[in-house]
Amino acid sequence: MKMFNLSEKKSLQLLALSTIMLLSYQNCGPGVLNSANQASEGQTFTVNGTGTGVTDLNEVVDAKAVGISYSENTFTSMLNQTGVAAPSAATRTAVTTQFSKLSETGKADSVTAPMWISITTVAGELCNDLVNQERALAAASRRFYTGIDFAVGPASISAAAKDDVIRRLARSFWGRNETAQEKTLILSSFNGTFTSATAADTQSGAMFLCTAMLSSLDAHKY
Amino acid sequence: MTLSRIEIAGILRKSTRVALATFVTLVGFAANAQMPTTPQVMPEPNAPISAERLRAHSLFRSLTGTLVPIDDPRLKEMEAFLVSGQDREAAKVATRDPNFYDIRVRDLARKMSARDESVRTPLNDFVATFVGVVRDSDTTSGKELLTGNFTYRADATKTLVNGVQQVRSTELADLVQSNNHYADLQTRGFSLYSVLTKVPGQKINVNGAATDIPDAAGLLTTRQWMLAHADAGTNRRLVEYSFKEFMCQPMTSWADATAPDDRVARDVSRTPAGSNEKYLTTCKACHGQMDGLRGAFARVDFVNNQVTYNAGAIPLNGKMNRNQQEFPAGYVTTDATWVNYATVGKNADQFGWRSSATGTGMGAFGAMIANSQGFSRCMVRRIFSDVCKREPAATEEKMIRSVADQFESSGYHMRGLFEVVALRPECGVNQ
Repeated sequence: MKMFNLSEKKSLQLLALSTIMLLSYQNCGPGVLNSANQASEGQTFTVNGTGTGVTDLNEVVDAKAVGISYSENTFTSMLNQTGVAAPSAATRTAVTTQFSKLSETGKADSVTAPMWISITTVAGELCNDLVNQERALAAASRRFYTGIDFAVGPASISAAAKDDVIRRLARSFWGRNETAQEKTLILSSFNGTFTSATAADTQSGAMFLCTAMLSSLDAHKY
Repeated sequence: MTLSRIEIAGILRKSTRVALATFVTLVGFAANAQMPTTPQVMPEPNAPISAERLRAHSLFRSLTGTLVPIDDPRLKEMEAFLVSGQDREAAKVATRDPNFYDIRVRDLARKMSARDESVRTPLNDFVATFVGVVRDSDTTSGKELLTGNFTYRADATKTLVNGVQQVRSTELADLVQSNNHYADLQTRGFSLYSVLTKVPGQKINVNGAATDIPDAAGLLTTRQWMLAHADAGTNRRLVEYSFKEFMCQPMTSWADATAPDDRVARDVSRTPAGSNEKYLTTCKACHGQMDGLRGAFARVDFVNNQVTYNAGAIPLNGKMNRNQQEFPAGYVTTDATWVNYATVGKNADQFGWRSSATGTGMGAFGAMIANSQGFSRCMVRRIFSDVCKREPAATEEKMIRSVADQFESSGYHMRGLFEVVALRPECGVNQ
C-alpha cells in the first residue's frame, strides 16, 4: 500500500486546491457570494458593485442564508460523507492542528483563504485514508473506486471508470449529481496531470479526485 | 541523501511536535465507545434524485448540523415521509439522529452558556443540561430549563472503555469545584445523546460537602452560568444575561427611564459628571430595571472556582452593597426579594408576563421568565437562527409568535420546536 510522504501530499493538496478554486467559481453550487440574479433563486447574499469587483456583502434578511459548516461540525460531516469510520492518526492530527482556523459561525463573511487551505489539508488526509481503505478491498466491494485498477497506471483508466468515480463522489460529498461543466473541469485537471503508466500514480489520482471534491464549496455548504 | 545535524534536529523537533499532537488527538478519539458510528453509504450512481430527497437532505443538514451522502438510508426514509405528506415524521428521523443532540443542540447551548457567546465554549453543566432537556422532551418541559432542580451528567456505566473509567466524576472535585467531568466528556469524544443522565438536585460546596443548592433555577443556577456571570461584579450581569439569553433582549432593548428607581443601589452615582439629568435619562433606564431584579441573586457568588450560597444575612459591604459612598441614600440589599419593573409600555408586549412582578430568590425569578411569552418566543428565535442560518426578520414577528404559541400548546416540547421551526417555509430548508 502506497503511503504518501509529506511533499507528495502537499503537491496533491496544491493540485486539488487549484481545482477547488476553479470549482468554486464554476461553481459546484451557487457559491458563497452570489450575484444579484442568483439571489432570486433563494440565496441570501448579493454582491453590490458595477461588475468590476466586490464592493460589499449585503445580507438579504428574509431569505435563507448561504454559509458553510463551522469548526465544530466540519469534521463530523466529512466523516459522514466519506464513510471513513476510523480516521488515521495523521488525519486526527490534521484535525487538531487545522480546525482552530475554521470559522466559528460558518457565515459567508467569515470564510478566509487560510481557512479553506485548512479544510483542504484535512480533506487530503481523510481522502488518503479513504483511498487506502478502498484499495484494500475487491473492486466490487468498494464504494467509490469500483472501476479503478490500482495495479496499473492512470493512463489505463477508462473514461467510464473516471466518470463513475466522479458521480459517486459527487453524490456522497455534494448531495447531488455533478453537472457536465463540473465533470469536464475535474477531468481536464485529472487527465492533464495523471498520464503515466505507473501504478502509484493511480493512487495519487484517486486521492486528487477525492480531495478536490471534498474540499469544494458544495461539500461544506449549508 | 545525507542530512546535516541541524536538519536532523529540525526533523526531530517537528516529529516530536507531531507525536505530541497525535497523542493528544488519539486520546480524544480513542475512547469513543459511545460516539455514533459513521455509516458507510454505498452510492447509487444511476438512481434518480427526487425533489423530496433533496428536501430531506436539506432538512437533515439543518437539524443535525451535518452533511450526509444523498443515498443515505435515513434520507430515503425521510423522502418516503415527505412524499406521503408526513413532513413532521420526516423531521423526526433527523431529530432521532445523535448528531442532532451532539452538534446542533449542543452548539446552540454552548453559545448561550458563555459571556462571549462562542460556539467553542468548552462543554459544561449548562450545555449538558440543555441537551438533556431537549433529549428528554417527552417527559421534561422546556420551562424546566429555568425552573428545574436537576443537572445532567454522564452515566458512569456508559463511560467505561475496556473496564477503565474515562471521565472524572468525583462530586466535589470534578463537578462542583471544577469542570473536569464535562471536559473529559468532550476530550474523550463521548456522545452526549448516549451518555447523559438526569441527576436530581444541583450541588454546591457547603463545608466541604456537596450539598443541594437551596434555591435552584435550572440553567440559571448551574456552575457554568455562575462562572460566566456571577464571578466578581455586582450580580447585575446575571439579570442582564438572563434576559439576553432567555428573552432574546439585550439590555438596551428593555431599558426604560420611566421605570421607578427605588431599588437602584448605592454604587450608582445620581450625578454622573455632575449631572442628575444624565442619571435620570440614561443610568436609571438600565439600573432601575436591573437593580430591581438582581435581588434574586443576592445570596450567590462565584468564588475560588465554585458557586457559593449565603443563607444568612446579606453583607452590607459585599458585592450587592459595595461602593456605598457613591450615593449613600441608595437601596441597600438585605434579602433576596426582587421587583420586576419591566412591565409597562413596549416591555409589557415584548415580554408578555404572566406571573407576579415581585418575588424572592432565583427559583421565583426563573419561573417568572419561563412563564412569560417572551421566553417561548426567544426559544423560537434562537432555534430559528441556528437551524435556518439567519436571524428572523422584523416582518416575521407574527410567525415567531404563532410558533411560540404552538410550542406552549405542546407543553414546551423542545425537540418538537426544532422540528416545527425547520419545517416552516420561512426557514428555507425546503428550497
